[in-house]
Amino acid sequence: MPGLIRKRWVALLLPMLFPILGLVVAAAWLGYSVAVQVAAHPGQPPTLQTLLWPSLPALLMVLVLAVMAHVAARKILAPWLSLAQSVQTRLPKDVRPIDNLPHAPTEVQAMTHALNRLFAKAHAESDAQQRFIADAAHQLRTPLAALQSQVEAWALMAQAAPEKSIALSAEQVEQLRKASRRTTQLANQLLALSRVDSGLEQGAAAQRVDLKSLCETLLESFLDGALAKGLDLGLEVEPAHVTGHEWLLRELISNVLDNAIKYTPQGGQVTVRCGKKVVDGQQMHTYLEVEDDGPGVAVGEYARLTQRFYRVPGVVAEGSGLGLAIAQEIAQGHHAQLRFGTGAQHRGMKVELVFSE
Amino acid sequence: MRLLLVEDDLMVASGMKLGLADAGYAVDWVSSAERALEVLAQESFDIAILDIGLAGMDGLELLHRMRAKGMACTCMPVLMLTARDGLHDRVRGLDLGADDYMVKPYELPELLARLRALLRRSQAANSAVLSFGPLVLDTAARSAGVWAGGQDSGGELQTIDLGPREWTVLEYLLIHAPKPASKDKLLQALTGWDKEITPNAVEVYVSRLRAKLEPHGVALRSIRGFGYRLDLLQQEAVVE
Repeated sequence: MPGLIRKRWVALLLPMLFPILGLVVAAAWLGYSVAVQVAAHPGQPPTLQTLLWPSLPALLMVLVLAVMAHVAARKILAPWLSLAQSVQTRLPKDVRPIDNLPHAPTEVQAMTHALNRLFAKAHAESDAQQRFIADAAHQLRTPLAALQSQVEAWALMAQAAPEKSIALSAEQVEQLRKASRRTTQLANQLLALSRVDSGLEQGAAAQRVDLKSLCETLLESFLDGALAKGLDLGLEVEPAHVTGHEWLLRELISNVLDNAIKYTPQGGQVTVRCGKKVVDGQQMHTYLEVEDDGPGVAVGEYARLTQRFYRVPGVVAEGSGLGLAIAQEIAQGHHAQLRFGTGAQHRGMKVELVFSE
Repeated sequence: MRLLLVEDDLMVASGMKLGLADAGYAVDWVSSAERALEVLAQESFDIAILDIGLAGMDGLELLHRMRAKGMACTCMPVLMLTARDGLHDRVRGLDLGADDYMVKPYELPELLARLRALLRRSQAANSAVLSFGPLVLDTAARSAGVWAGGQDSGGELQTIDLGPREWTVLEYLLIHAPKPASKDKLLQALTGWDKEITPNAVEVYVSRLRAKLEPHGVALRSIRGFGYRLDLLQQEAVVE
């Protein structure tokens, strides 16, 4: 490698050597000529005429230098220009790797490698997006099918007897409402997920977020729902701050809290905590957790909880399967860890968000 | 309560009208912002629901004009409704003078609860008298009372004796109902009276208030680790 570098320096400087030497000689000659003039005619400043002839070689040398510099620059930049050309002519969807010119300088090769890595990543992203859209569409179809099949049946009945109205039992209407709310909830979660993805990418400035105040605000939002279910929702919060995006953290805690309330049966307890505590027996970390005393989740299921559209088998309550997937993405975007475990006395579920600060 | 509904989607509007009328609102429905301005010039309403995504002039522009000085509806509570709920739209709506913001598709109980909260806020801003179920507080006269025997069936207003600090706690809770109030904030409200107040003092006043109000169907519910909230006992009339 050092031999190669030395060879390159030599190849670069050698063409420059002659013009530089010539320039030095010409400068010396000019200075000598001027000195002679001054010496020959003391008291008389050298005129333009007298200076013109001696300065001619210097001018010539500058010209040659400029031409050689231009040629050298063109030579160096040629592989860059050809790389730019091959990128420019690509269609946006083309993610094939660029072929490397075998004799291209190492910098150009490094650039080509970097571009190829970027193309591969973009390809993987776009693949994942396609799969996600397909998955989401499948998921949406399920509650929509429930809705549609009921309504189709009723429409047929109504067509058979256009003058009469159909009677719907309260039970049927309630089923319809559940199916339509499920669809809405899924759509909302999909939108939230896409917004989380773009929000994290846009790199908006992170700010200081007051976790205690956020928990209190969310308590207010969820209180009615919890009380309606006969749950005891409470806080155990201490002042705590992190650097991040408030609306994203709000989305995360909302999803986790919504789960806790949804899956804890009547008479249960849900507690939201935040503060600083010792984690893994090491340093103090800022944390936030939601604990409930509901049925909890089997340890073997923990890893799958954050997969998109994953629903724990045997679970009755309705959900989109996206809440924890979204929470995981937000946690990662904040350099925090989302952990699952049991609650107090090994009952229920505890979802912890441990920050790195 | 007269309600103006500005919504151009027929199905959404008809569902809303049905639900709102059932909850006791007198609903006037228009499907464009231009028509809404005409109606607002002729009639007065207690509250309005505006859809942002209207054909022609959009809901935000309508809101801007409604809040212009000199319009009769400058102070009327307005709830914005939209299918787009980006943070940006939300902030713009609130900046232009919307009082609350809801996303479509909406759930009817939540819509009704938010409308009630807006009406309560505007009532508190406009009059000295606050009410919660059978409880009535006159903030000007600093007196409290309950409608014994139900307010509709011609019952009478029974005064309740409250010490000044009990009054402060109850007033704060009532202004924020149905949202819960934190112990910290209640303590701050009380510190105006007595610089030496201890955190336990709030609990003392709350328990005294409980003893006075629970027989009339108004409870002060403890929210673990946070504070308190006013609730109605027997029939959950306020929270559906």
